[in-house]
Amino acid sequence: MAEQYVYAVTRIHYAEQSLLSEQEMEQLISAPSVEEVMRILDDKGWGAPDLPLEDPDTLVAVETEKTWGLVQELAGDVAPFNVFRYANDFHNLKAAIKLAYTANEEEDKEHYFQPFGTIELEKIIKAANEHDFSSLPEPMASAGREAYEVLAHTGNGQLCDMVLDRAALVAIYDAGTKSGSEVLTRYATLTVDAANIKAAVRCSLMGKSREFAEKAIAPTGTLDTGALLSAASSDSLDALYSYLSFTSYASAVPELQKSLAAFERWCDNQMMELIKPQRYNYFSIEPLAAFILGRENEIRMVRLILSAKINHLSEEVLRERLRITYV
Amino acid sequence: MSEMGLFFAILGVAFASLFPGIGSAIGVGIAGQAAAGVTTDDPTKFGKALVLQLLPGTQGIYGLLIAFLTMTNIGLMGEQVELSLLKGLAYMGACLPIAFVGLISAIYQAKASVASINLFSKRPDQFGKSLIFPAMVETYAILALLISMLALFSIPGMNI
Repeated sequence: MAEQYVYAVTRIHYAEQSLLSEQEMEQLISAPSVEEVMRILDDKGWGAPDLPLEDPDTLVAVETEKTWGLVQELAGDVAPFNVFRYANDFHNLKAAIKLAYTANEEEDKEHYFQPFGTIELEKIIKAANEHDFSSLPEPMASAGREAYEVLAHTGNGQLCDMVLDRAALVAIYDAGTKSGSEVLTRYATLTVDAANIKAAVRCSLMGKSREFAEKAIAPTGTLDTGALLSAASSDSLDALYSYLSFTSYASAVPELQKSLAAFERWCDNQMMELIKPQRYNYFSIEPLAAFILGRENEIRMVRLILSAKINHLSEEVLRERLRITYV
Repeated sequence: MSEMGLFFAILGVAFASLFPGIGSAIGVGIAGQAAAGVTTDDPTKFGKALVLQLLPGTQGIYGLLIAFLTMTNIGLMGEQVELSLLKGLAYMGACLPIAFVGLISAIYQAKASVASINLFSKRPDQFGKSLIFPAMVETYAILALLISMLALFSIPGMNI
């Protein structure tokens, strides 16, 4: 029943007021120093009292925790949003397998892992250390097994990553399309299609074989895998551009022709445009999903701005990479 | 006095009190969730949120009013009156506008109230405007109340 989310949605809409607007984002870009950026963020309630000023990673972790904490408090159960968390699970599995393979003896391994996965970290680490992935849910278990075997036999970390990245995309697409939510379905579709397009572009630019492309491109999403594979194994990207111009990604072609960074920006902006109507939806779980995406988008941008300020990059460079905001 | 006439008139009383009451209970409940949501984050908005929450509650009151008037007219509260089968059916018919419009308008008014609570939580200076949107739905509940009342007042003088 949609009405069960009225309380949660009202609070989420109230919380949207604390999101950074495009004007505030502009202020952050124009800020002369990291301290000034932090001061503006502090006014907006970012960070924690004892947080070191110029530490983007900690700031990102704190803000991500706040987002999920709020969603957990309001929704009670974050399972409907697992589609956002599968990438973290597969990242953690990737890290655990590589640490187990290299028999890494480091005491503090936490920095290799991502928080907010759907599976406890200990369970993933144990599975990788014991080479027994049966305790993990499918399709993680079979992907973990395959990735470990690939790594053990070839010693090639890239091939291991490709197995898990493909499996992650399949899991995200399945979860998104089965959710029954328009926002989650479109998120999953855009994530998977964008990853496949980027893989096809990279394969083509690096002159990789069709066999390699088959491992890099996930056989899922709305795009024709055969067409992507042909484009990926050809020397020119024209085949890919002409195929995409007949799909819903036609407007992405000019961005792809510029660079992959421009294409990524287009994807993020598409996502924000897609979720904007959720600001006026009061009766379903979708505004919560939109809030998570809106927050992730602004956290990514703040991280970018902080890194740019720390490394004294110009405002123009920043503006080129700036995404539109949710509010 | 026709027993069937009285039966149908009481059925009308039940409809008038039941359906708008159910609609208002659902409506006030839905709007209450939104009101609680905005009050959690900003307790100073309690009073205004309460006004918007209570708007879908009026249909229940209108239903009660029609039920009460019908009971008075058919002699359940006061002096007994002669009630034919047709008159009993007429009383039931008089109760139907507020019964059905009350039920449906309360639920839709609640949805408009939720949207308005969200509106003024983001723009506190627009409370007046936010009040108008759910109030528009009230028009149709008032029209139904008016027709039910006019019908109720006409029935005693009818020669049926």
